[in-house]
Parts: sequence; C-alpha cells; structure tokens
Amino acid sequence: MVEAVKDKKIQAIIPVRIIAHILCLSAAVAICTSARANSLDNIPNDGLKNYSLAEIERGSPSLHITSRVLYREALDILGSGDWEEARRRLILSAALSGHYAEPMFTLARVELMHAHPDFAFHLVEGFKRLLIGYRNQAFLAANLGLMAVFTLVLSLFVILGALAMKYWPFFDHRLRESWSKRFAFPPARLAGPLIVAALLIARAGIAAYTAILIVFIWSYISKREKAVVTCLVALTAAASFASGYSNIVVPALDGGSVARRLSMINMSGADRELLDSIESIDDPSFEAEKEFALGTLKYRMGDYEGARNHLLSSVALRSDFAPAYLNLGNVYFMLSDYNRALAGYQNVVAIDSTAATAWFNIGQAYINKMLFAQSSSALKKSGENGLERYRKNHPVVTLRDHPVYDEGFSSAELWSIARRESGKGGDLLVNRALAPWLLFPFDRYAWLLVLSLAAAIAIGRIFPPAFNVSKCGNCGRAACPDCADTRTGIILCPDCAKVITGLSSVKVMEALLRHRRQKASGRNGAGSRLRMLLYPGAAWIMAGRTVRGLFAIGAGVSAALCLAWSGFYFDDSFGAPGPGSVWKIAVPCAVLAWLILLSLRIKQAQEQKNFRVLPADYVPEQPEDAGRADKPTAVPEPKTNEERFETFLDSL
Amino acid sequence: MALEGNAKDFGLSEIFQLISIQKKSGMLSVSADQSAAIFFQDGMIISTRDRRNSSNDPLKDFLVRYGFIGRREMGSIQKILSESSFDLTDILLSERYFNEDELVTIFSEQIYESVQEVLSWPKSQYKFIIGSNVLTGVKSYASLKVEAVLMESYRRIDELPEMRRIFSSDDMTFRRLAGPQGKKASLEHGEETIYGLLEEERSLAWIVSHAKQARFCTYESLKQLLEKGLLEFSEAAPAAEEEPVFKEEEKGKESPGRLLPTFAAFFMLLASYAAGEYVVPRLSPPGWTARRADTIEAGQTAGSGSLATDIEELRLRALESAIRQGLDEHFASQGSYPFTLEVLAVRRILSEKAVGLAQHGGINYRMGEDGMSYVLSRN
Repeated sequence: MVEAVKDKKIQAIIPVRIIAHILCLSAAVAICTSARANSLDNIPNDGLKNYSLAEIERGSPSLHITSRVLYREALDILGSGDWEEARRRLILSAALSGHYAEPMFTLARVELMHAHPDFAFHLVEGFKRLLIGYRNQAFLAANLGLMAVFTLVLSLFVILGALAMKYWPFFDHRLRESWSKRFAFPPARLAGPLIVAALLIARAGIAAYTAILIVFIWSYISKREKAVVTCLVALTAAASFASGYSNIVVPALDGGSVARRLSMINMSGADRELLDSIESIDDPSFEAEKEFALGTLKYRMGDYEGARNHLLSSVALRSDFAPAYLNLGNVYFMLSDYNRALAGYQNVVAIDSTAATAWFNIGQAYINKMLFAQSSSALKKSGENGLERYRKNHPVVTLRDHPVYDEGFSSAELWSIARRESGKGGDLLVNRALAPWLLFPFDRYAWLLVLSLAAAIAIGRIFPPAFNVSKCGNCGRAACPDCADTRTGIILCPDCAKVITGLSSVKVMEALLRHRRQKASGRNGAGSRLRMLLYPGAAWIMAGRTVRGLFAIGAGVSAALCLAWSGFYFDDSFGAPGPGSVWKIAVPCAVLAWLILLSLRIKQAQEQKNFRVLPADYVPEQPEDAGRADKPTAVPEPKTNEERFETFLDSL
Repeated sequence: MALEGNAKDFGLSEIFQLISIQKKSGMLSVSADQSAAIFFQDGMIISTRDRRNSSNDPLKDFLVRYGFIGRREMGSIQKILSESSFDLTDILLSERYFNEDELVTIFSEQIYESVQEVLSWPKSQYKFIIGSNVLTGVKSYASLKVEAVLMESYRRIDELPEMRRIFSSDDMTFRRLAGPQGKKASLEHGEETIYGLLEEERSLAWIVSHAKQARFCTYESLKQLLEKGLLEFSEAAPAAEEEPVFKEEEKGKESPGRLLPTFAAFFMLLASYAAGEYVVPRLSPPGWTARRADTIEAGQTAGSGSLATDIEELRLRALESAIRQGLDEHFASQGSYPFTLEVLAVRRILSEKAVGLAQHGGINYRMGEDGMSYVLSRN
C-alpha cells in the first residue's frame, strides 16, 4: 500500500491491467515455488534429495530414478502396514515422473482397499500414463501386437485341433475301412494314431500342422465351422501381411537403438555418458536429430555456445524441426539475446501454432523486453494450448530455475525416427518371436494358409468319395457307404442298424434306438468333458457351438500366454516381483478357471419327449418269421449297401 | 392295511374267495420255497406277473416252456426289454408275435397254471395288500373269476397224479396212427395241434415244449388222442436230437503277413523322427529351432548402433538397460554404486532371475574404485 502510494507516477504510466497480470504471474511463481519446496522436501533420504537436485541442475525433464526409488520405498512401507505413509510416498513418486504408471496403479489399489475415493482417478491416470511417451507406447504396442498375433495363430491351431478331435471318428472310420481291406496288421484301429504319432514326432512346427489340419478336416466340418475357420484364416493372413510394420517397435525395445538413445534426453539430465552415447550415432540420416539432442544436452549443461552451434546445425539440416528452434531460442534467451530468442520461438509457432511451450517462452521473452501486453497475450495462448498438460508430463520443469521451457523429442518424432531406423532391413520382430513355434516365416504364413485352404477345397471336390462319411442319424457315429444302413430312410451306423434288425414295430425300434442314442450321448458327454480338460473352449467346439468356442479359445489362449510370459512378452522391467506380479498370475488363472467352469456347465441338447428318429412314413420290413401274426408287404430295396447310401444321399 | 397269515391255518382258497366276495383290489403275495404274486381287481384275478421281479416273469417262462416263442427269439426280446421300458406284452403285440386274442388266451392259461402251482404248495405264507395303488403299472389282458380259476385249478391238481401215472417219463415217445377205418376223428383244438406235431416219433418232453399249451392240457390232449386210438407210445427213447451245429465260415481276410506292415509302421515313425531332427532344422532359417525361453546368449553389445538381430539379443539389451537403471537407482538412494550386481537383487532393485540372466548372458559389471562410477560390458 505504501509502495503503491510511492509509485503513483508508475501507476500513471502502467495500466492497472498490466499490474493485474504481474500479480497473477507472481502468484503462479509463488505456487510453483511452494510446489517445489513441497515435492523435494518430502523426500526423506538426504542422499536421494541431493541426487534429485543434481539431476534438476543437469536439466533433467523428469526425476525418473528418484521416482522409482520412492516407489520401492513405498512398497516397503506398505509391507510394514503404514498405508497412509505409503500413499504419501506413492503420490510423491507419481508427481516426480509424468510417464511412470506403476505408482498410480499401486496407489489406486491401496486406496481401493481402504475405500479412499481417489482410487478411480489414480487408476485412470495410471492407464493414461501407459499411453504417454514413446517408450510406453512402443512397449504397449509391441506387447499387444504380439499378444494379438500369438492369440490368432494359436487360436486357429487350437480350433483346428478341436475340430480334428471332433471329426476324428469320421477320418478314422474311413481310414480303418481302407486299412482293414488291405492289411490285417497292425490293427486298423492303430492306423490313425500311427499317422498322428508320425506327424508329431516330425516336430514340423505349428505352421505345417495348421496347414495339414486345414486340408484334412475341411471336407468334414459344417458350414458354420467352415465360416469360423475361414474368418480366423483371413484375420491371421491379414496379420501376416501387416507383419512388415512390426519392426517399428524394435528401436524402443532395443537399448542400443538410435531412437532409444535419443529418447534418453527426455528422461535424464545431461551428463558426459549421455553425450558420448549420442555422439556415437554415426548414421547420417539422423544427423539433424543428433545435433538437436547434443544441442539440448549442452544447453541443459549451461554450454550455450556449444548448444547454439549444434542447434543451428540441426535447423540447417531440418528447417521444419520445431523443438530445435525452441531450444535455440532458449539458448539466445539465456544469452539475453531476446530478439533472436523471439525469432526462434516465432519459427516454432509458424510451424505449429499450438506449441504451448513456444507461446510460454514468447511470453517470457516479452516480459524481459518489458512488453507486458504481448507477453500476456502469449501466455494466454500458452494456457489455451495446454501448458498445464506439458507441466503435468514434465513435473520437474516447475522445480527448475530456468524461466523458459525446453523441449526434447516428441513421441511423434521418436516414432518417425523409429520407423526410419527399422526400415533398414533385418528380420521381422514377429518372425523372430514366432519362430520357435511356427518354424515358418510369419510374413509368408498368409500364403501357406491360403494355399492350404485352396488345397483343402480342391481335394474335397476332386476326391469326394474319400470324405464320403456321414453321421449316423441316431447315435452320431461315423457311417460310410460301405457300412451304413439306409433302409429306414435315415443313415444308421452298423450298430444302430443291428439293434433294430428283424423288428417290425416302429415303436419298439424307436425305443431301442433312443436307448442306444442316450448311451452314445452319455459316452460322448463324458468324452467331451475329458477333452475339455485338455483345453477350455474345446468343449464348445465339441458341442457344436463354434462361435462361442472361438471366443472361449481366444480368451483361453490369451490367458495361457499371460501365464507363460508372466504378463507380457516383453517385460519392461526386470525388477523384483512387486504387487503387480500377483495380478499377472491371478487374472489369467481366474480367466482359465472361469472358462473351465463354463465348459463344465455345457449340457448336451435335450431331445423332445416324443422325438422320433425314424421318418414318419417309414414302414418296417417284415421279417420272414413263422411265429409272427401277420406279414406286411416288404418295401423294395436297392441292391447293395453302397447303392442304398447313394440313393439316400440323392433323395436328400 | 394288509391281511397276512399261514396257508395252513387259513387256506389260500378261502383267501381267494374272501377277496372275490368282497370284491377287493390288491396284491396277494404268496411265499414258500418260491414266491408268487397274484393281482386282484374288484375281486377278479387279473395277473400273476410281479413287475418288481421282472427277471422271474411267469409269462416269459410260460411262453418259452411251451414253445410259443423260441429261445433265440426270447433272447432278442430279452435284449429289447433290457434296453427299453416296454413290458413283455407290449413287445409281443408290437412285434406281432401274437395278436391280442391270442395273447388273452395265453395270458389266461398262464394265470391258470400259476394259480394251480401256488395252490399245490404244501406250506406257504401269504400277505394281501389291499388298495388299487399296487395295481399301478400292472398290465393285464384277462380278468378271471376266482371261482372258475379255483375250480379249474383244483380239477387239475386232482387229476394230475393220474396223468403222471400215465405219462410217467418225459422220455416216453409217441407216434401217431391213422384214424380207425381211415375216417378222420373229430379232434379238439389242442388235440389237433398235438396230432399235427407228431409227424415223426417224438418224446413227451419235446411234445410238451412244442405244444403251445399248458403241460396239463398237453397231457389231457395226449390222453384223449390215446383213447381215440390215434396215438401209440413206447418207453424207449429215440435217438438224441442233435441241434444242427452251424460252423460260422471264417471271415478271415487273406492275411498278407505281419512283417511288412509292421516294418513300414516303424520305418514311418523313424523317418518322422529323422525329419524332425535333421530336415526341419535344415529347412528353417538359421537360429529358428525351438529354444528354451530362459536362455539368453550373448550377442552384440547395446549401443553398437545396429538393431538387435534376434529376440534374445533384444531381451539382453533390455536387461542391460534395466541393470543400468538399477545401478542408477542404487546410486541415487545409497550415494554409490554397488560392489556386485547381487547387491541389486538383495536390495530388491532387480530380481534374482534378472541377475542370473545377466551372468549367463555375459554381462560383466565392475564398480569404479571410488564407488562413483562403474563399467558394464559384454563378453
């Protein structure tokens, strides 16, 4: 108040509005200062606090290591039972690194267990963090992509296996018929298992087995099953054709890649080791990015002359490289050359008018030039374009003394670098991941599938008699032209036909056939349950619910993969098992258990009370038996069994 | 409510009459060395077949014993019975072994014979369970008056010793004779049936088992035929009637020998093994054979500038990055780098598995002399 009275002259010159802006800015600075004091003062370990301060001094945009140490400490505290202290430590850990998702998930879990209302917010924030940043995105993409491809390939194989089990009696029946005509030993019932054993011993890989299964089962399976298999083949083939893009994630996974080394400037403070690592990049196609990274690191180290040279080289190589202009502007700003700094920032907004940091830095430059109106306008634009988001993702920038904000590589930029780096040849990631199981290049797998499908269709059409096996109309067992009995108007297997041979009453025939049907159904039900134990989902295929079986097998395969990989294919950390590890086992186990329970609940379709298997107009042949009361006229019959079968099929 | 007692104290015939007079419905269970059940409905006898004891069905025995149905046919019927919920009478009618009239006659005859048998037991216990409930599920094709059944049964019981005297052995043989002066004598139905059976000389046992009537009726018919001079008998047994033995033609296929197919099967398995062991790895690109997941082999060093060539190298590089991060964490919290990588595992910065993989993968760690620096290298 006293000062206001003293500075009446100044008040007359500077409008009240500008004073208000200054006051707002001061308040913002005060809040930031307060935040800084709160954040680092809450670190109980002095050594860690000093390390963090040193990192901030070296210009690190995030205190990732500090955050990890605090997270581990929080887990220890959690183990000792002090959840409130653990929660405080987790919040601090989460606040120091904008891309570290683990503390958020643990926080959400702890809060959920103690009915704290913030758990939902922290859970959502955790998922958001998983999607932020090039490395997180690449890991997620690699893991989800591989999970999808493995699930597709294995689901197709498992479904074909389940279908092969379902239709094995048909194939086996035909094989036995052919075998028993030619050989007496080994017994015909061993012929099928011998062939399967020979195939398994060859260990030809899932690709070869899938192709063989497609060829052999295609002619037996129903239309719906064909549709499901075709859809899966199409999806797998599409994945195979798109597999060329899989290598784009490799640079993120490879600690020695150019993209990964360049991305380190987003993660840690500038030091000699990092500089050496980036200087060793000798690929000329990344020269602009390399110069930018070196310039940025030198800027953070306070070597403004060196930084200027590198950044000027960078923008000379890439005139549209906005972050290089921004950091170059920062170098000039630190050298108090505000006009050049403004020129650099203006270049950034010319390239991207929504660059919040550029507008913020413009505002800062105008303040230093005492142009408060322009500064206010720029700061307003900065706020409108998401400066808070930048601060949230780079929490350490608010703890630094620098008045202007710098930029590292954006996620889009790093993806672009990764694409260029991965495009230089080499084996595909997905090929390498699937190699031990598939034993066939996945990028050519589509052709194998398409060819096997074509071969299956062709074989089915060229040699239809080879697959001419039908289901017994009563018990569902395999029946071929050589053995089927069609005199009743339906196809009956030899056993069902034998049961009603010599009978003249449809009523009695129906009763006996029903009895046999129920027996066969009971046997099949028990067999199906047994087969279900081999793999959940197969039970649905056996029961003829193919689409449900497809989803169940897909879910089961994913869960089994999660179990086998202890989470995902690429584990981001090799750290000690934390609380998250339990979920990596518990969730897949729960999914598998749920699928098994659902499989156990599958019931065979109950037939209607008065269901009749024989045609309504069927008149039984009367046996020539003297003991019988009367003898209706016998129905004329075709000559041979095969002719009967063909006649029957024609009549259908 | 049950009525029970000993036949010695209160005779079965009185019980029968009591039930008949009072027109009771229910089941009279009689047991001696054997047991029997007689079902009454409104004082009439409707069945002697106990559905709870289907293995000992008197109708089934009756049909087989007197040749209504052959043993083989009964075997088929038995199979049908075991695989369905049908009653024997349902199958007999459905399969047209008999029409309904025939079945009524047979059913009645069987009741007569059963009651006669029960009445002839010297000692027995009885129990009469009153109520229509016990009749649920009882199939009946006859409803006989108790008086008629009793009279007929006692007549048969009375005449049976005389019959036994005449037909003293089952081995007696009978041969038919031409009628007196070539005239055809008037014969009753039963007599005609038996006369028809005796185209050849037959034993008494054979005649009884083919006469399609109760034993007493067969005896009665034979006696009548003897009296009419249409039969003569002798005590000598005829030659044993041998059942024709059918030797099933051996369907044996031409056995081409076991050696060749067995050898072929073994060869196929061996060839498959060889294919899996040698051909598949040769056809696959280098390094594509299945490998243990936990094995990490040393390859290029991280930071060499080129992308990793295989998954294991990729994992090794990721492990190297994780170790560097862990070392930094140790430095941040402890103020110095650890002596060995195992310290990271002890402090739970890295898992023991990761440290083991690092050693196996040829990652060497050496702390600087002042503890403020380190060297991480690969073999």
